[in-house]
Amino acid sequence: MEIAISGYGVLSHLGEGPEVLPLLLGDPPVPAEEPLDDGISAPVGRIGLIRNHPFGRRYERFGQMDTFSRYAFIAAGHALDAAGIGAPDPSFEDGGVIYGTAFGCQEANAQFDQFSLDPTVGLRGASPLAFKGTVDNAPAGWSAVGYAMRGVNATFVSGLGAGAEALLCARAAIRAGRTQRVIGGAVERLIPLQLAALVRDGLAPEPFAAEGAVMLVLEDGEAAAARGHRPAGRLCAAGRLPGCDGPLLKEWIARRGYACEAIERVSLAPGLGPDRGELADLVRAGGVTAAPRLEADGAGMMMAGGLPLALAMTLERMRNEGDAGPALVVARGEGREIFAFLVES
Amino acid sequence: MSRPRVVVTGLGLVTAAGSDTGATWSAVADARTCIGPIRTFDARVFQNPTGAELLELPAAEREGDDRTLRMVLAAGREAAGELPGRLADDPDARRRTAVVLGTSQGSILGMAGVHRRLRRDGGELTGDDRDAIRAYRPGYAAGRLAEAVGAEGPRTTLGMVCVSSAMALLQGVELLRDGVADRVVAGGFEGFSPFIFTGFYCIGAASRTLCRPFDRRRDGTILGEAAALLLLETEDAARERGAAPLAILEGGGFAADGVHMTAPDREGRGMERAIRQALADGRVDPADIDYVNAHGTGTPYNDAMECRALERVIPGTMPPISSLKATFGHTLGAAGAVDAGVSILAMQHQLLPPTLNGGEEPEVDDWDFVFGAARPAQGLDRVLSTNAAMAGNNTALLFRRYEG
Repeated sequence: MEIAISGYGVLSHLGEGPEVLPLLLGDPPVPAEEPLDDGISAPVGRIGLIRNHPFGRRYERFGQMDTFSRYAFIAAGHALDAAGIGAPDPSFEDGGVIYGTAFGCQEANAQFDQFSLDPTVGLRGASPLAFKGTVDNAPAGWSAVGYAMRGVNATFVSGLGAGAEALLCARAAIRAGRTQRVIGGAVERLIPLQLAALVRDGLAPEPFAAEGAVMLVLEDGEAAAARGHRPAGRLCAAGRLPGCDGPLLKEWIARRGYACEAIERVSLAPGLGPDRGELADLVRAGGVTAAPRLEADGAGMMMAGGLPLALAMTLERMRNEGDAGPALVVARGEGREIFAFLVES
Repeated sequence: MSRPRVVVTGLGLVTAAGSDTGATWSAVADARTCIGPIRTFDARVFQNPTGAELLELPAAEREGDDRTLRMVLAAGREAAGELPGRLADDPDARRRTAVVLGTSQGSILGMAGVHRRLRRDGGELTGDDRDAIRAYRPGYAAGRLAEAVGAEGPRTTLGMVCVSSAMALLQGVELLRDGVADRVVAGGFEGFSPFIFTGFYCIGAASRTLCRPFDRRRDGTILGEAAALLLLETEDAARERGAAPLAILEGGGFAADGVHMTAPDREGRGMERAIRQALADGRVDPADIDYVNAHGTGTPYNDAMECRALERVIPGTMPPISSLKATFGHTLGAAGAVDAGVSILAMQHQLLPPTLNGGEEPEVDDWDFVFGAARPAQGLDRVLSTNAAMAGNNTALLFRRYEG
């Protein structure tokens, strides 16, 4: 079965939707340093609160969402628009929502925590509305409700690889016939405490930490064709490679029917600390001759969003340059695992 | 290409009944509730300060390990059995062994202290704070468990509240079917915390009285804590190392309600979709289900929703249905794996787990909710296990007794 990438949508600190994509592909400046906790400062691409948004008109309870869920909802809306899917639309009800996140709902948790078991406050201040935001699957839940996508639904919270895992799970669900299309990707709302901890542990986000969301609509290629939609690309192969080294990557590519030297583009997702140097070495050791690019760097390191963002930005670059690919997009997961996605436009 | 059969070859259940599977099963077989007065924190602010706590924690493997880590590592070691010894000298097998966990709030207990102290006092973090922040980092528990069992394959964590560990099992199946791994330690964990208590009280999901699943007098759930891990393997991998399968994980499904963030679809349409997916995935006829281990939280909406979904999916006579929530409390991120583990034990022992605290006013008059006491069963060969969660998530898993 062919898996189409029917559209993608981005919300970043520089803007959102189709208008922001050229900006992100340029060479935008690194954001200003922000004082974090524990005496540490670092540049952070902040979006901050979003109180009102035009997409609020698509769902009357947009105002009840936590910030984290709003990010996802907005990026998903852009992805659905790009995929030519009017939402909410009952004819797409079997659609799924599968997100990944590294920091999850930690901001909402920190806010809600002030009400938990403080004898001087009791339960008086604990808000049911605030509690809705204290679950990592809140964004996927809100998107499913708001866009009436009632098929598969999942949330990965594994860390940096969570966005890639979401896309793998989406692809598997379509291939298994559980659904015809899935909004998949990642969302991050950053809290200073965890960012400071990463920097202190020698894992500073590269090129800089950033909030945001990036969503792709994966779809059964035949279903996309049947509704007359021309996809942005084709997901030719996707995999997770634990303990990956050059020869393993080479073997993985060959088994997917590609020659390493035929791969025209390589994109490395943003990473933590020394990740990307190692990734570049690994790709070279795998026999891929195309020079690694950093297509997603304009938007920064959206933690779990690394691979979905690199995938979307690579497709956008290919579209702009009239390049059909194939392109290899790689990102680091947990431990020594890497994620590898092969796409064609 | 035919897909590999997925078998369960190990169980590790740490619940309020005790730190191993034997103690957990005893509570089920004896129809004994593990719910009692909360002792680990001052719970007087809550109207009903009861819960299912683990009173004797497994030993810490490292200084600073919190209660959730202690539980998940103990459950993981029990589920893995002799596997770590086998993996020690086999790098390829290590690379093909995965860990998939589910949790709602992970190691939030330590972080809650950090949040509050920083807000109150501001200023410097202590070394303990930094440990708590590290432990709260996503994937930390999966990393520690992987280290403990010697797994160097994929490591994944799902955060989907009460279906987290059921989804972890489904994701484990996916890794095995995809050929990425030969075996997966999969399940979930949840520790007791004031944070979660506060949340369940403020959304009105906590019982003011007793947890009474599938009884019309029910008024909410009672929380518990647990870690539950299953060792999943392809049948070939299990055979190769001489492991005796306990059950087959035949299929699974997951689907959204897509109607409300904190309440289920009253008609259970998301649950129905999840069950139908599982049946299709396992190529199982609904009439062949011998027992349903339901989510059965004891909240008014959940139990009614599950009944509506089941009556549409299973034609004719409904098989026995029961819930473990009045036995172990609602263990959130661990609930799906606790239910899965007990479902497998029920098939092994040919004993239907009971639903405690109810029976006078059953949700559906002519259905068998196994109220009161465990009951011997004959031909208990296939179990459907269902779970549902906040944000409208639903899962269904199908297990079959292994007969070679």
